Amino acid sequence: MSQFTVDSIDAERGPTSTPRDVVIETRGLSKFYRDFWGRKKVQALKALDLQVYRGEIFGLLGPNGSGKTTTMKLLLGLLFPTGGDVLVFGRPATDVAKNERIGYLPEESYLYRFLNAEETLDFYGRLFNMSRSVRRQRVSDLIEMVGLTWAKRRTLKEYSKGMTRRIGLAQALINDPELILLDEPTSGLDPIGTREMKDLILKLRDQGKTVVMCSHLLADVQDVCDRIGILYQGELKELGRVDQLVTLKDVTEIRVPKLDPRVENEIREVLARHQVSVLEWGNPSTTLEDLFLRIIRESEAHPGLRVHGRGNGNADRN
Amino acid sequence: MPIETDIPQLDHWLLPSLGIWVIALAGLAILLFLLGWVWALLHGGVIGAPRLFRPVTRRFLSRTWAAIADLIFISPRRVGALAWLGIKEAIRRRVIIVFVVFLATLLMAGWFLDPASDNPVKLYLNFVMGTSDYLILLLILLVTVFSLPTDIQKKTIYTVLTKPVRPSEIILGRVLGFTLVGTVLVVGMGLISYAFVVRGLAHTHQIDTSTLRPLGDPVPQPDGSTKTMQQGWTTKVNGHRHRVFIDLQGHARLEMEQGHTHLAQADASQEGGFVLGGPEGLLTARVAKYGNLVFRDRNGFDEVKGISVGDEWTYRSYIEGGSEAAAIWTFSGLNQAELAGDSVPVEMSIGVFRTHKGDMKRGILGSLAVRNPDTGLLVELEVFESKEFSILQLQIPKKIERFAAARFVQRRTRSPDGSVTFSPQQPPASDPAKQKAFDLFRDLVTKDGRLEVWLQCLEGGQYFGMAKPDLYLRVGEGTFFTNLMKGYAGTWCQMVLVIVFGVTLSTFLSAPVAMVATLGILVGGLAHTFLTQVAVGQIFEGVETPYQAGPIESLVRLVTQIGVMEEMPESVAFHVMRAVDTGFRLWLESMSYAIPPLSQMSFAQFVMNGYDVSGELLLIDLLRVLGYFVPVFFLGHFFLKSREVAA
Repeated sequence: MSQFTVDSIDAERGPTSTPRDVVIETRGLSKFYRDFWGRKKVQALKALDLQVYRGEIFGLLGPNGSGKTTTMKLLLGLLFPTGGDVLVFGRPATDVAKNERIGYLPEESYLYRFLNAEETLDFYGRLFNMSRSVRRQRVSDLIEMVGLTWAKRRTLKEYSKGMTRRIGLAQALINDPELILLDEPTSGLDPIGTREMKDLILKLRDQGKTVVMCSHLLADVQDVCDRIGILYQGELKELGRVDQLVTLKDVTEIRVPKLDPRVENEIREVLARHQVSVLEWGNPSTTLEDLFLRIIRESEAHPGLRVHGRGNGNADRN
Repeated sequence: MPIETDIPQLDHWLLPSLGIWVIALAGLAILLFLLGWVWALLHGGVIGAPRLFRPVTRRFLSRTWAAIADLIFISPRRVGALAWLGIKEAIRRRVIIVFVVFLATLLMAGWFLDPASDNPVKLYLNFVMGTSDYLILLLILLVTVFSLPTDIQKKTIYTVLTKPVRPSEIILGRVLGFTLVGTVLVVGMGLISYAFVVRGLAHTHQIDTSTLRPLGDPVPQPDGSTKTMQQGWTTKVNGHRHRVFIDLQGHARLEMEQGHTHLAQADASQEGGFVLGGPEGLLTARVAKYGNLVFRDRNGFDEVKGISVGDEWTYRSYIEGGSEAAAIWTFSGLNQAELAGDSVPVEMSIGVFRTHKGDMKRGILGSLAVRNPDTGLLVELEVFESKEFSILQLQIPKKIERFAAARFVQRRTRSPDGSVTFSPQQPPASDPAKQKAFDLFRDLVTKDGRLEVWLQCLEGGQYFGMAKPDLYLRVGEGTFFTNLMKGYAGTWCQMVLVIVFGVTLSTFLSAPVAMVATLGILVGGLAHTFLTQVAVGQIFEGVETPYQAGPIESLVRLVTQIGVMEEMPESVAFHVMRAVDTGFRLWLESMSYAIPPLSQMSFAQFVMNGYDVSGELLLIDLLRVLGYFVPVFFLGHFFLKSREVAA
């Protein structure tokens, strides 16, 4: 049983949060998987209490088998709860009408591989009862947004995993949804695609949409999520604002431009005088993602740039 | 040959069928309630069951309401999109290949189907319609049952169910999509079949001048010369030849052979020569009007059935010759406009049972009479000689001036309480025997268009056998092409039902299991008549036997060697056995309602035997489709809505 109740969630929202609309609410939500004879086999989720507010990016974290995808499927009405309630926009998750305002990107883009990109998006647009003219405009905008204009007539079976992921995202956005549920949104994407996906998620939040994503790629979650919940063995173990949860309150970090040795010595003396032990001193490293993206950007600006190996594992670029 | 199945009439069929339909639906609802109980019992134990049953009942009722409400919210655009997806999927699964298989089969068959056989039309049509029927039904079954389970297995259904799509729309979309694909297949195969049959049977002959012989004496002509009629033969093509008659005017006429003739035209390029056209009357679509058949026994009382002559096949009932026994067909809705011409053709095919051999070269004599059901006036039209296994055509003139006799005849019906009612009760004021001529529509057809046709066997000790479709009024002629297409409309209706059952079963069964289940329904549907007979214990129809068809009794009788005509010793075990067997038969009977009567929905017999498929029959087929579609669609909706597709 989770120790986090609705009240404690409110407390976790921190001092900066203001009262907002609740988009998703689960109350004591639990799920058993049963075998053929109806006997309980696995308890995938144990009494989950959760609220997701309008306009935030909420991340569900956890290792494989922790209940992230089960939660997502319960929110979508693809699974029925064994106990408790799931409300989406104040209606039960099994209510079909709620889907009008939802966009969903599954873990793998489960799309009809015999359709091409245009047909795929047009098909899903028709499921939202969109008129032909609206569909046409929306399909062309989304294909352009996900950068697949060049491949829009190719059937999805010819698509790479990254391309399928992009078209999967486009189908999730076909109805301009208020709530977007993303299951492992960056899986299968290259670093550029991952960056673009994360930028897009932030952009969606800026447009006032609510995003719920689940992932086990912690860096991605940290980059984009406002709040997270950590699930382990079907139980909610942590919940709160990312910036607060990851802040080490008993450590101080100062970032300044490169210091000359004299100033550095002075600082060390001051610290010693105050009997402060230095935990780490040096030049911070960038993330591999930032490095990769910088190299790609430079390569695009200077197409002739190449790497010359020195034989010692390092390389010169000219 | 006439149609040898009972032909339903809409006005007689509709109300009883509607009644059975309502009872079957009520039975289904009760069954679902009971299943709810069982479920509650399994989950809550005996004590917890009543507590659990209430939510189950509430859920059942709310689901029913949701299903009805869903119908209001069904979006044609969403259904259209899902239907389009079904079509795309079917094309991806290469359903078109079935045309190639069909064409290849026809090409092969072209070598083996013998146009020289006794009834080549039946042979050809039986083959093409049978082949296309099985190909279409099996193909559509496979496409249908694999569709939804594949979607669930590949999880593509997630992206559909997370849109505002209702389960009913998914089912309707699939059914519509596959029906459209199937329609293309049916129409395509129909056109190919038409071309195959017409081309396969197309032939002509030439008049073999060496066989021409004078017929009769030379007849003097006005110019002083003489001319003689001639007769001879055509050349032999497709295993038959026609006798040719050339009259004094030089016109040639060919006799019917293998159910057709050819038109002969004078050959402009050759003096006295003829050019023969293609087969005429080979591919027909007789428009028949059927009446209701009752029997009159030897004492002059009405009976539902005639007498049995011991035939194993009890389809035909017999009337005794040289007695008052008669077969009476009552036709209704007759009007002058529908029956053009001077006379109304009556066609019949009567079975003959001889108790003594007599002159085997000669048929048995019978009489044809018409009677006014209201006034009781009966006019005996003519005496005919029976022809077995072929269709005999007689005429009922609209102005009846030549007739054997005219008299007043009462119909007598015995009530269950033993009293006898007469119809009509009083004879007419004027004696019909004195009347010299009758007008069919004024004197014999009632104001509401009813007419009775009476058939009697005139030879004592001999019997005529008949069933309802054996005698009919031939009211017109349809085109063969249209009739063939109507025949394929029957296949189409069968196909739609296979799709509806296939889609619904695949909402809760895995693909292989759904396939076997749908195949079971298909086979059961094609053997529906037998299934019903077993269910209602009519295997020995018309035979009094202590044996009550049932699996346990059959087994006991088999082991103990007690024949079906022998009484079994009564004991407790005997009553238990009977109770179990009755339960089994009830189950089988309910199954016979659940399984669609696919065999009765086929019109192949009509097309093959050259009978027009009436609009009424097509309507009955469509109503059957609708009758099964509605509950099965609701069931599919329940199953899909109750299913955790992501589990």
